[in-house]
Amino acid sequence: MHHGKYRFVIGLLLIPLGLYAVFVVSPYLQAFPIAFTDWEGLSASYRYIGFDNFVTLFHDPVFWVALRHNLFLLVSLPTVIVTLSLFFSAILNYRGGIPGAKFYKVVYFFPSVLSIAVVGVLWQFIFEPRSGLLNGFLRAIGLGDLANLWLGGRDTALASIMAVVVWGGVGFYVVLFTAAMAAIPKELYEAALLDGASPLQSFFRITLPLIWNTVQVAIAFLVIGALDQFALIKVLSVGPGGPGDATQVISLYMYTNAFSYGKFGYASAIGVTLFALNMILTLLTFRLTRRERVVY
Amino acid sequence: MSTDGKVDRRTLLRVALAAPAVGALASCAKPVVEKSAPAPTLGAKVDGSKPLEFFNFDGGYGKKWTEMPLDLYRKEFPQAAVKLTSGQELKQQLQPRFIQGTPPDLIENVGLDGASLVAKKQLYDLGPLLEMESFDQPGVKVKDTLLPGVAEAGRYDGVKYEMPYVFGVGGIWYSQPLLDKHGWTYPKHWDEMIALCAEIKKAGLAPWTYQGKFPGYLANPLLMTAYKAAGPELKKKIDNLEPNAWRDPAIIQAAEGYQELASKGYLLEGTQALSHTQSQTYWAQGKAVFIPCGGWLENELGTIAPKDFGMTMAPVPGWSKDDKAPYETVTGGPGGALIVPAQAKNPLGGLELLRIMLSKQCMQNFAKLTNSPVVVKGGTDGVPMSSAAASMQKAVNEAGTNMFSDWQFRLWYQKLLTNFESSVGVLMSGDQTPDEWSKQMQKYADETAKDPSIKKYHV
Repeated sequence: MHHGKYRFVIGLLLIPLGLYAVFVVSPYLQAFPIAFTDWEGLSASYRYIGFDNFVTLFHDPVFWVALRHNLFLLVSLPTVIVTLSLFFSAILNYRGGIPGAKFYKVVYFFPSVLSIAVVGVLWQFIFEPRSGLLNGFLRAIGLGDLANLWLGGRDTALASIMAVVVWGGVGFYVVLFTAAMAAIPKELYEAALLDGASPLQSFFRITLPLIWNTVQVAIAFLVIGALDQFALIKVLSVGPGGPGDATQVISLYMYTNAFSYGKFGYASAIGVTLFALNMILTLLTFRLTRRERVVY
Repeated sequence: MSTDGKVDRRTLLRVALAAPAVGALASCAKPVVEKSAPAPTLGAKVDGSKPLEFFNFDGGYGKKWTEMPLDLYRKEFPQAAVKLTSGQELKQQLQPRFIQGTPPDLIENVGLDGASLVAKKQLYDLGPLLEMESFDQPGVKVKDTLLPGVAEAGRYDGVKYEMPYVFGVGGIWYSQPLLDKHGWTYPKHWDEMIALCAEIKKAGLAPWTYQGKFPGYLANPLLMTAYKAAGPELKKKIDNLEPNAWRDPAIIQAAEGYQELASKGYLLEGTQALSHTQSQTYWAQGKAVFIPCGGWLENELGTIAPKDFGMTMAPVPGWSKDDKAPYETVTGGPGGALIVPAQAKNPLGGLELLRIMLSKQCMQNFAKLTNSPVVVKGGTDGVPMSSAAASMQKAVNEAGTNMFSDWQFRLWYQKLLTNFESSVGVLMSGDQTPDEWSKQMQKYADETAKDPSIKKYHV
């Protein structure tokens, strides 16, 4: 009978695995040999040039600027999003759920439903300095001095885009964390309450340790996400990637090299580097956030 | 001006796909055979049964104008399946097809790097077309129907690869009635411009705006002001990537002049973060007086501008009375690039469609639909000219020989062009002094000069 079972399983997996291999795995693998060529992406001819692309990349100031921005996002995005989501879900779950918790959960989740291009275009209108919602609001409440160029200002551009990422990301993690929190047995909280624990104490001593696995996964997601951010920056930023290189990130620089400068070989080298960074950081995240597993 | 359009005519809604790795972009890449360009033959017969595909850049000029030539082709070859494809992101849409060896038969190219295509032997020699008989003027060769300079434009090392279709100029736009109403005259030199800006500001209007999200629109005027101060030598030095070309005093002083627009508050508030459609709309609503743009502005604005707006284009102001090149100098001439890919399945059909497009009736149709001067003689005869088109015609007439198609480095070196345009944004935000900016530009130019992977051309 085992034979039949395996045939059935393999039969089911064949198509999705095949699609995955053709459209995901194979392009990834192809990027590696292309990274060692001078291919310009317009014709079928190219030369192998060894590690030249990587040497150039190492001396490319724009790459370092982009990397710095990615690292900034890497630290700030997980911190801000995880903190906010934990805060919101803790409040929603306070004493077994505040009134209207379900409603809020849905509202928080709204941005996750929108496609990222739509989010970008939407915020473009909000940030528009003359008749945009944000500056308009600031002026209306008498804070006109705070009105800003936002995406057009060198100091505000990256932070503005980050704010959009946070806005779009929090909802998903609120739902994730609330679900995890709901799974914690009520008795633990009751016992803590009897022992005189404050709500803050029970959050840090009970809730957080018990959902740590989920938080860990969230951080890993966000770390990987922070290394990308291509779509939003492409849609939203001036230039894109500007003003100057104020919102330049590795993925956008890779795209620009491939499609604007006609340097597919170089762009692949950037892609391979990004891949390596991603691997290292993901492993690092799991290593650093590892804790004793609590079984309940 | 068409070359501006190559980079700047963007769409507001740019649907971006997140690409996790470049591998995904290059997935269908790298077949092994390199096809060489077939030798073009003069007078070869078009195979009327073969399908034909025309790729139209659906941007500033739209796609309505393509109907007439395509219909004429269908009439000539009723058996042919004629297909129109349109788009705005040619790099993403057509690059894979070039690599696969299945490009369209004729392309209205805005976005693909022409110089690279030529360097990689991807284009069909259009030379034979010039010798063919015109489509609707029997006995006259195509080359004799064209305006001066059109047959010469779009050549690389002497071979004709790109066929222009519009005759455009770029400059500064304003509303003539608005200037008249306040008794202002368009200034010919930069100090007069700054003085006028002060007056305009006093009158409660914003003197300038530009397409802040794409600072390239302002980059060309800045260069032109420098050009007028320093004379043609400057262009040669910059185009040839000569050392210290960007450190020329004329460049630094022009940068100072343009930066003043921002530092003295002469820009429409928020300009630096506006897209091209947003800034052009504010300008057409009369909120700002001057805006830089190419010849497609009127067409792109469509009905947004009021009917009595009196849209007028004038050359970029020079620097002072001691200028070495006349104020009337404009960048312009034949613009746009229709190309036939070397690997096209039906290159002769593409060439034939191009011949139809260059016919007088089709060009007049184009001029009428897009309000743009075209490349054939008499192309605008009988076409009612809007004030915008008339002002461009006037600029062309007054420029006479003081007209050149474009700064060559903008066509030859994509990366330097991108660097240049984004650096002008930095200059206008006041984050760099004009001197620092010129040093930065020189560094970019030196980088391009030193990069062995970029093919160099010379003027």
